[in-house]
Amino acid sequence: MNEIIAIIIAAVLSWINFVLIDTWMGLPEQPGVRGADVIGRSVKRRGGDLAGGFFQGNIVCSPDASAGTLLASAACYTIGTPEGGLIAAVLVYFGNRLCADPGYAGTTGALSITCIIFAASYIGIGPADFIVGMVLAIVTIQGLHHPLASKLLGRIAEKMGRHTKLT
Amino acid sequence: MYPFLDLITLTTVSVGVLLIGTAGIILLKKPMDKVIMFALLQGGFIGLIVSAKYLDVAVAAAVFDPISTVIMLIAITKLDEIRKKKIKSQEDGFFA
Amino acid sequence: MLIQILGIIVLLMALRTLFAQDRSERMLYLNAMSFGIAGLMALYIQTPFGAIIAITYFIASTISSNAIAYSIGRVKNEIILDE
Repeated sequence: MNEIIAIIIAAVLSWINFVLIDTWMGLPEQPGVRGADVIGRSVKRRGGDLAGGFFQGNIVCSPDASAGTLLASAACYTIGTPEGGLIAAVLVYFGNRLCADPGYAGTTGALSITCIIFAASYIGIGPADFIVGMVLAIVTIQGLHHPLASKLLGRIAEKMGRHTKLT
Repeated sequence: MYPFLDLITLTTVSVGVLLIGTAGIILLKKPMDKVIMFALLQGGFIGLIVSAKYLDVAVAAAVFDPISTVIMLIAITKLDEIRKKKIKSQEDGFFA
Repeated sequence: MLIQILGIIVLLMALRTLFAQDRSERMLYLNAMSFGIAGLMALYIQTPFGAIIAITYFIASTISSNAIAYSIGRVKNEIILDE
C-alpha cells in the first residue's frame, strides 16, 4: 500500500481509539492530579474549553490511552503483534501506579490498539505506520492550536455525557 | 531539498533538540522556564545516547532524569517561599 | 521515510517550546516532543530492547512533566534577584 495513505489511515484509527477511550473513562470530567488542573485552567484562560483543557492536562501528567497506544504499537513493531501489545499493557499498568493514578485508561488503550493493529495487518498497514500515526494524532491535539483543539474535545465530551461540572 | 531530507536521522535530530534546549537555558530569564528547557535538553541527550547504541546507559539516564528535575524544582519552590515571606514581613514591618 | 517525518515533527515542537509565551503552553509542546522522541527511538533500534527503552523514557518524561506542572501551580510568579 502507498506509504502516505497507510500513515493517514493509521493516524485516523489511533486518534479515534485514544480519544474515545479517554473520554469514556472520564478524563475530561476532572483533573486527575494537580498539574492537570493548572494546564486546564490556563487553556481556558486563553479562550478554550475547560473540559478539553482537563483532557490535555491529563494527557501530559499521567499515562493514559494515548501513552498506551503509542507504546503498544512500538512494542508490536519490535516484539511481534499480539505479544508486544500485552507486554506494553503490563508496563503501562506499572507506570500508572508509579504516577499515583488509580485508573485503567492506559491498559485499555494498549489492548484495544493491539486488536486494531492485528486487524489492520490484513490490509497491509504495519505497526510502524501506527507509531508515526499516533505521533501525528498527538500533534493535532497538543501541538497546533490549543483553544481550537480543546473546543473540539469539549464537544465530543458533551456528546458522550462526560463534560465537566467544575468551573 | 531531497539531499536535505537524507540528513534527518536520530543523531542530527537529537543534536538539534540539545542545541535548542541549551539556547533556551541561556536566553530565558525566569528559573521555571530554565527548568522546562532542561527537560527538553534531557530528551535530546537520551536520544543521542540511544543513537550511539549504548542502550543500558540510556535506561540509567532515563531513570535518573526525573530525580534531578524534582530536586531542582524543590529548590526553586523553597527559595520562592522564603523570598515571598521576607517581602511580606517587610511590608508588615512598615505598618508596625 | 518514517524517521524523517518524526524528525521534522520533533524539531518543530522543540522550536515552538522555545518561542511560546505561556508556561502551560510550553508543557503541552514538551509532551508532544516526548511522544516523538519515544517513537523515534523505537523505530531506530528495531530489537525488543528498543521498545523497553522507549517505554522507560516515556514514563520518566511523564513523571518529570507532572512534577513541573505541579510546581507551576505552586509558584505563580516568582521573584528573581537581579544580580
